[in-house]
Amino acid sequence: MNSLFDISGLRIDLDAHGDRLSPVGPVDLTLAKDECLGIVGESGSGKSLTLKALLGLLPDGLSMGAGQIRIEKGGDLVACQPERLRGHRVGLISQEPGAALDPLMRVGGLIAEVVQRHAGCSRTEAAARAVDLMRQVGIPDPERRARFWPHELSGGLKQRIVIAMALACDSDILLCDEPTTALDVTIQAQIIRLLRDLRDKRSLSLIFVTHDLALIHEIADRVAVMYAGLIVETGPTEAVFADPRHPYTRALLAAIPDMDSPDADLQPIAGAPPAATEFGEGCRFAPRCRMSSAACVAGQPELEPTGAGTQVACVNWRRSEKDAP
Amino acid sequence: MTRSRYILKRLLQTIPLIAGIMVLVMLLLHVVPGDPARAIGGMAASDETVEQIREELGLNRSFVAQYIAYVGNALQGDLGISTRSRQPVTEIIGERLAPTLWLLTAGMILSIVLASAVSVLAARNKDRAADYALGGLTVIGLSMPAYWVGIMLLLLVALPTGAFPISGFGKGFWGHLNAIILPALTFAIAISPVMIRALRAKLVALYRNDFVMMSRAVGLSESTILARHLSRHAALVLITMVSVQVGPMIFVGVVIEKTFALPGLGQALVNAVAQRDFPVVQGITLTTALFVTFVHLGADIFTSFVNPRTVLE
Repeated sequence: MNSLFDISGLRIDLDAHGDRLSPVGPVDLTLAKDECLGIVGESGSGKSLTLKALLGLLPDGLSMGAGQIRIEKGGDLVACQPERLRGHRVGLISQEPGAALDPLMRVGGLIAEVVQRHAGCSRTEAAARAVDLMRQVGIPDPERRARFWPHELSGGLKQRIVIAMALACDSDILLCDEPTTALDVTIQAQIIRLLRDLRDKRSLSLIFVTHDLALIHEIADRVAVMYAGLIVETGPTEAVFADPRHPYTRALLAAIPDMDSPDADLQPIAGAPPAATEFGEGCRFAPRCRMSSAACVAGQPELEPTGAGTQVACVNWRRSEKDAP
Repeated sequence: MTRSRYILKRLLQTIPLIAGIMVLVMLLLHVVPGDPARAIGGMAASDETVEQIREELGLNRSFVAQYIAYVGNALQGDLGISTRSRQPVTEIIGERLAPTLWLLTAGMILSIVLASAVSVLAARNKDRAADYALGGLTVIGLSMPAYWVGIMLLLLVALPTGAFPISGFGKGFWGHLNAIILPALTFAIAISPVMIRALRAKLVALYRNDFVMMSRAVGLSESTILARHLSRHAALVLITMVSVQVGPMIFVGVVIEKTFALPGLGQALVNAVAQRDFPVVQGITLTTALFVTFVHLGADIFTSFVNPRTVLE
């Protein structure tokens, strides 16, 4: 596989704690050129933090404790500081388009500012390029809308502005942190279509974080399932969805309401994911797992290949659900 | 609502406000216990003199008639005549206005510069030694009365160095500037701590904001984020602080004028009160009240330009 972006041993630590607490990691991720990697997990699984760590944007109190980030440069993977990727190779699209835009600047100005910083061109040229970018992300009547304030645009249009800002950097990797969660369903579909178009046109590679399995299935070539700060299963999307091996992945898929049999009961996963202070020695899913055994609490299972192209971190992955006691 | 309509609305709102202010200014004369004309004339004045004063001030007419006359004269730039110096009140105000405006302007600029620098430094070093040290200094600044700070500056700076006058307003632009440095510093020490508290809190909150993270994500430098984005938010906080503090600021200004013997409106006011020179007291009170009103108006107009959401209904 032609790797473009490679993360190994990424660990996020809580600062100022007697004992080291790591809500995330160690996590290994790799992104191929023109690929879309989906990261899926519940709220609090650390998927969003992982993305932020890749650009050195962790909130106060958290820091990258370990790990190496490498990016392709002239055919080789070279190690890189996350801060240095900002605005060059890697762009970010965040969850809340409303909060992502400075309310005291016109949207055209926000994009032009990034253009100017990146291309070092004149103010008027940057403004013209900003309008052009707005057109590329499908904003109708961009000349007029460039003069709008963020609060005068709908959520979908605001998210398009955020995407235009990311494109203004000419990044080849786009990190999408639940870009559609705050939008309603029809707008979601439009934004996903836009991201796909851009991916094809500009040969962008995406890392797409969401809790929406249907969305992952639709957009991602490969998927990584995160639970309590660790990747528990990963592989080509089709393979993982067709034959999930980790009990957590199975439980997630089983929890999706079935449109064909609307009367069937939902199958929620009992309990809640553990906080970083509650991580034990063993498998972090064991307390909620229907298949847990003595081996599960003994130690943290490592990702191992299943033979079907996927990797899974579960001591019992060979046992099917039916064998469960 | 468009911005121009908002500004027009705010302008129209000031008309009844000013009318109300003038009612209060008129009442100044009448809240004095006893007979204002006797109070002005003094105990030794003959009844004829007191009657003459009463006639001159129009005190023998009804309150409404006095009010209409006062407003009418004020609109024509006539605020009456000093009962002591027989000088027109507007002339006294004109003479005394410059030092006060210098003090307030220089003091404000210094306060804003000081508050911005300290707040940025504290917010960028949140919960670190520098933040705590600056927080401590802010509390000290907040607890020192302005007249004491002024006296200390006179004793510890003006007298030993001889670089600054210990009283008066100096001559010419540079003389004025030199004379205003220590009073303005005193003003800033009194006024900036409250600004620092508000601004630091705002900056700390802003640094946690998503748009700051997004600005970093697109590669904007910390100085660009501060200069192009946070500065606008900070300006809104500062202008609001100026707006709500302008009353206390004028009071601080009066104290500082007295401490540094600046021949400004504040000192004229203190003297006029002591001499029961009511037309002067009224004129200066009206001037400062109008000043406060226009600062509020200016702050709202400024805010409507920086923050487009202000003009929303």
